[in-house]
Amino acid sequence: MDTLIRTSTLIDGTGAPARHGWSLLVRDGLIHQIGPDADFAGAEAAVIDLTTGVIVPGFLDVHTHFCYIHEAGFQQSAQHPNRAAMLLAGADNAAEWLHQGVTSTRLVGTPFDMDIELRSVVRGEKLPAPRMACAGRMMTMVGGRRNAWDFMKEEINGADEARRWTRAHLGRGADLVKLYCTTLLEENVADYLARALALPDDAPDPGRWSSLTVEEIRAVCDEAHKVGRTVAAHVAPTFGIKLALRGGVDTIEHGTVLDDECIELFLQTGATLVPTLSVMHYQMTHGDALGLPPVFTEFARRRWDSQVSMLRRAADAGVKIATGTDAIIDGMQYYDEVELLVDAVGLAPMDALLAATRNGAGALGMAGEKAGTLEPGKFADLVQLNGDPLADIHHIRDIMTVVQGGRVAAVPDRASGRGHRGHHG
Amino acid sequence: MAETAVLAAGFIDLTPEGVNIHCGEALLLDGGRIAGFVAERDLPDEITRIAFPDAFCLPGLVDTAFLPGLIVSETGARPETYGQSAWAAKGAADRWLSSGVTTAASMGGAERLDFDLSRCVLARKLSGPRIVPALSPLVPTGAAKFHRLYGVREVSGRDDARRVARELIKQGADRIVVYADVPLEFHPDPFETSRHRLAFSADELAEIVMQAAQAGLFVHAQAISSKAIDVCITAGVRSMGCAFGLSEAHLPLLAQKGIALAPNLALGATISELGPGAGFPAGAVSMVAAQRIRPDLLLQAHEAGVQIICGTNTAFLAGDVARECLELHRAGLGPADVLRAATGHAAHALRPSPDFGAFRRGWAADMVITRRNPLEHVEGIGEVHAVVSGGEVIRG
Repeated sequence: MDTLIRTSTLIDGTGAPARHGWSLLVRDGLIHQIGPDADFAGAEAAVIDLTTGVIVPGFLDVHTHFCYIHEAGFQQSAQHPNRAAMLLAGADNAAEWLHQGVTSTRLVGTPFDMDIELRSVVRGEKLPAPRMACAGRMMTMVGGRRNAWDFMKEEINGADEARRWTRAHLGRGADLVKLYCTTLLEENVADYLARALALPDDAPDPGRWSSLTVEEIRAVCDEAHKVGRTVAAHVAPTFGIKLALRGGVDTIEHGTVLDDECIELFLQTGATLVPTLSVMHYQMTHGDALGLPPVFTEFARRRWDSQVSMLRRAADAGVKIATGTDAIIDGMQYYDEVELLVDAVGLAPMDALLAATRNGAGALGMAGEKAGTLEPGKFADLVQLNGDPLADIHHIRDIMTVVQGGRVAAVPDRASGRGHRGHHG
Repeated sequence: MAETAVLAAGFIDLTPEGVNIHCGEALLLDGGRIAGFVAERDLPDEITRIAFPDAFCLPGLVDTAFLPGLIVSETGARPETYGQSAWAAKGAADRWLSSGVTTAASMGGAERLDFDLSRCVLARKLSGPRIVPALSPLVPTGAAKFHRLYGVREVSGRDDARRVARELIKQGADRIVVYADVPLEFHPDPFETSRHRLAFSADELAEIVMQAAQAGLFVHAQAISSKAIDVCITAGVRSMGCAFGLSEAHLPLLAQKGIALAPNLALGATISELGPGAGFPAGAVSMVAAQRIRPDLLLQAHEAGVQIICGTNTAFLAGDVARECLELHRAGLGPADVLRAATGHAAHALRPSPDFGAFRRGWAADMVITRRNPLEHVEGIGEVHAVVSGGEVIRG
């Protein structure tokens, strides 16, 4: 039976202004028709009444690590990451993100492909969770694994190997390929940060970096794109961003230091920037409480202003920006990323909302074809907010109902904490 | 100074000498450990009381054959991947604990699943019993026709046995599980299935037992044929499961060498009830259904001084220690002996010096609270009112 979702105020995520008194007719989990209430007179359908508050598309977090637990962190020397614990944490974080309105996600790097395992469990057991596009383990260059226990990555050398690895990995069930394009070959990261802090802002990066070659990246993109999959590139220094964009990746993750040439390349290639602001901000604001070495916090503070001004410049130039939390620190929430785009970067609330919805859909690859906007043929994934996010972006925290595939999937609850907790690992 | 006192209509304290029922007394707990009994009237006012005035309290149950790798999930799905297996085991751990099992000794699982689960329980990331991991169960080379998720390792020869045992111990196994004999293939005729079995030699098993003993660990063997039981007795394993081929001649040897017997009766009973529709090879179902320890022999074993212990060894929802207790009772064991099989005897079959399985000072404050007195109604073990694990009330 069809479902009719009645709304009062609806923002469809295409960039169009809010609609009033519209409804959505849902068939098989997809939006069949959307329009003024009068169009649906006499429709035979079960009704979901969402006529209070404001309706927006379900959010997309295109850079998460649900299964990330500190023990399995690639910078730790854990001998045997606890895979069962990764799965349990993954299921719990997935449920929490759904309650925070995230109806689709991209998991960009998980040791032992535990995200692919999680996806299978979520589907089999029908657990509450966002739709998940999973990258599984990452690819990096020879020497790119941080230590013997860095189960997050596998190393390749040369375009042929990159192509073979990509094919094998897609065969393992990956929805996208995550490249660790640049890696810092420093024994002691804190020491590198201290050296960087001692230099003026415009000095060359003092780190020992290694990177994948354009040919290696291109081979990966070629194989992934053949089968409708996307490629996400973790990059830190500017030269790495350029390499990755020239290699044809779909998204740049972090992209901390952008110059004009980077922005031009983004515009030429149509790639999406996933700035993952909230992880840096969380480190900056909670680092002391989390017991991070002070140099990490200090480095984040030093970089913050230039980071957000570069991001603003990119946005103004027309670079597509999507939200990704990179939630790997306990306590982080999805909302932070969207709010920072307004509060720190200065985007208009509508632009932040588009970053949280429409802009991330392409990054999800095949999984994203039907995500991100409320239009016919798209997933009936939406969020009912108790307040207008275009008037105040912080209303995205005030979620009343989360609908996924035309069904009520989550109702945040202050008593249980669901929808108001942070990531945990 | 004790922090908490548990009060109940009666505490069933099973000592080697007999059964003490503490009435009018409270059990003091301190830091998740038992501090001793004290008369209720002597309890200080400021102590926190956990009262079950109409219920009976016995030590937390011990399952010596928890099978996490292949647990059927709550939706009835049989796991095919590690993730599905881990998720189903998560549900099972919670169910086992809710049914009163506060310690579960694993029969092993693929890719360190039981070890990882045990750490999740310790870190309170998972609601479940204390899990005693075995990592990979060992089988004779060529006999690995097990589901991949059992995680079995093939062993051949004494040197190989030594190496594998050393590796398991190094990797964190708290017990070693061996399948002493395994059918080459399952056959529709159960007796054909059990006729041709690859089996460990006594030398191989003895080497595993020795390596385990040096690390303070016990070896548990699943053995089907009479010959495999002979080999297990010779090698000196600590406990033996299934033991379909048990005969009168084995009984004095088992008693003399202190080898406990886990007849896994609930497994056969459950498989018989579920039948081939549960997705097992027809030969396996009919073999398990057709071959069980004769009830009279089990009773004889008990009377000959063989310790009987509870082990579910089942991947089904229905399998639990309460069911095993009931089957042991049906086989002729008295209620107190059934309770010993599910608590103290089982604990001593897992560790040389256990700190769980009885109301002893300094031992883990694990208990199961039942509405009916299980000494009068054995089926009352399955009617769990509350569970206390490490001093924490889990349910009830």
